[in-house]
Amino acid sequence: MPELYSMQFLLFLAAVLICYYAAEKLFPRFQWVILLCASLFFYTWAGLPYVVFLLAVSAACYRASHIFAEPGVSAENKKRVMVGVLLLHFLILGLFKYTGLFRRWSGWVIPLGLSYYTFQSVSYLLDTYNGKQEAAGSFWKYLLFLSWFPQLLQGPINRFGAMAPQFFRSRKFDSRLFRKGLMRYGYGVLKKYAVANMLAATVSHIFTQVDGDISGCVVVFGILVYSFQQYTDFSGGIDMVMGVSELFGIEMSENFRQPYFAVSLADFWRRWHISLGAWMKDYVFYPLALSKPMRKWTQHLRRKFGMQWSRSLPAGAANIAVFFLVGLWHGADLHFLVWGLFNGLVIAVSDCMAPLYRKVNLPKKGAGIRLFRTLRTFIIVNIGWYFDAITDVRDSFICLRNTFTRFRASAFAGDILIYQIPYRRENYMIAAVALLIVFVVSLLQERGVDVREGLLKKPAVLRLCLYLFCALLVLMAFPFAAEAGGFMYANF
Amino acid sequence: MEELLKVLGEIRPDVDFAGETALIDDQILDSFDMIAIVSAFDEHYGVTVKPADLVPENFNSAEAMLAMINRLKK
Repeated sequence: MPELYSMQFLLFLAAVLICYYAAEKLFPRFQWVILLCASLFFYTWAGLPYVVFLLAVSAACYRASHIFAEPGVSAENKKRVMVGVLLLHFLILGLFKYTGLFRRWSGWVIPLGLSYYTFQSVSYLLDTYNGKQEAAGSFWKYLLFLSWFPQLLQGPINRFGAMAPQFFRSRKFDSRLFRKGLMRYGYGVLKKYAVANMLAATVSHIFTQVDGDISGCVVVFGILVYSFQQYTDFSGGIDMVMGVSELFGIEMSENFRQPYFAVSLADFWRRWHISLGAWMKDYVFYPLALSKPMRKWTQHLRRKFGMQWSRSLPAGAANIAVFFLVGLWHGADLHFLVWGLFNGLVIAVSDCMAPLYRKVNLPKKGAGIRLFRTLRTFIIVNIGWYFDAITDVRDSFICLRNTFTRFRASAFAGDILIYQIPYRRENYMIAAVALLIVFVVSLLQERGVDVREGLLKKPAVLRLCLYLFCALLVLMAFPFAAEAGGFMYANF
Repeated sequence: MEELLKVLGEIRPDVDFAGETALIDDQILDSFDMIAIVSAFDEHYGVTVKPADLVPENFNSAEAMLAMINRLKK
């Protein structure tokens, strides 16, 4: 697979853009065919055999959606088709994601974008089954929705209803939108290459050498670095692919909304990997929380214990199940499951305690309380990262224990040397400057400012200086990167 | 409508259900509230709201919720 900044990819992108906007003049009704051809070409770039799975999922789901629309088919048969196609999706996903044996036997790797297109396809399947979405007009149109090349690398998980009207209308070149797309791509490059890649080895070197003596201050440093590395890696990659998609005038689902400004853990999960959270809410949380046994349990709790418990316990239990699945989606490893359960439990307990919070007479508005809640949430999120960044649960607990019992702040300068992090001071300086830019942009976005629109209104000289400064940071970063530039959320 | 406002007020006493028109779009209600509301509708009005009905158009205001309840009653 070519890197998103490689010359190969940029040439491919330029060729597709030229063809796409030329097609608007030649055959506007079929402009989308260029996108489909480009997406299939991109997919085969990652390996021809994997196209089979994409085609199988697309064909089964497309056919099923038309069976749901046929008046002569009984409800029972429609349900059978839905369950069968659903199983096919998860069979393919499970085979690749959770059976190393299959991958070793076949010699195959996880197909590009498997999780993302599986989730997209399942949402379409269930929405057409429930009558919330009309079936796609043609198989090829549906195939484009699943294979749209910018979304294959690391999402977001798009919905057919939001994408179809954008794909299938003719589109003239719009220089303003195009420049905004370029800006977003560039912002993603800055995040990924001037921050994430400057920090990656710090995390890997610290947390692969955990022993009982590890200092709490080193652990906290590693976890903080991880929280910024992971955010800039994932959201930077998303910015890049969103930017690429916007060059074609196509806006995909937002995946991040300044998550580290969240005021509670539940709020954090409404701002982080938004498209996965929304998918889990619509297709796992609600169906589970509103299943017959759960409804009965809710009503029983309401009669016995009143409103608060009937509200918090069933929804909390369904939420824990959701986070268990989110953990499992990250990988069939114990640490991911503990991490998922930690998040689910904290949110459930927090909801149970809501009446208590209401009784404590804390101010509801104001900068002070907002800052307090944001910092509290940041700490809780970072405790969760102990079970995400560290791959051995025993090591996670050792690190957590030593954070509180063996902090040794004064010994940091000596202790950090043990881990032989292959970085120089320049790494952290580049990352710090780029992070400052990300912080300012995020702060403006949190206040509702459209940063890109605002920038376009500034004088050209100022914009040029800003772009050159960011480009310089990225160029300076490349020689200092200790690890190759893959994305953390690719290959899911 | 008054009965509905009373039911909703028991679930989220801090929300002005009579005046709000973007309860979902402005993220005033979260998914836990939605489950509590659906369960309350089940008990008070005898209607079964399905997961597919949990869309912003049905829950953005008390008025929209009432319209949905009346639709489901038929």
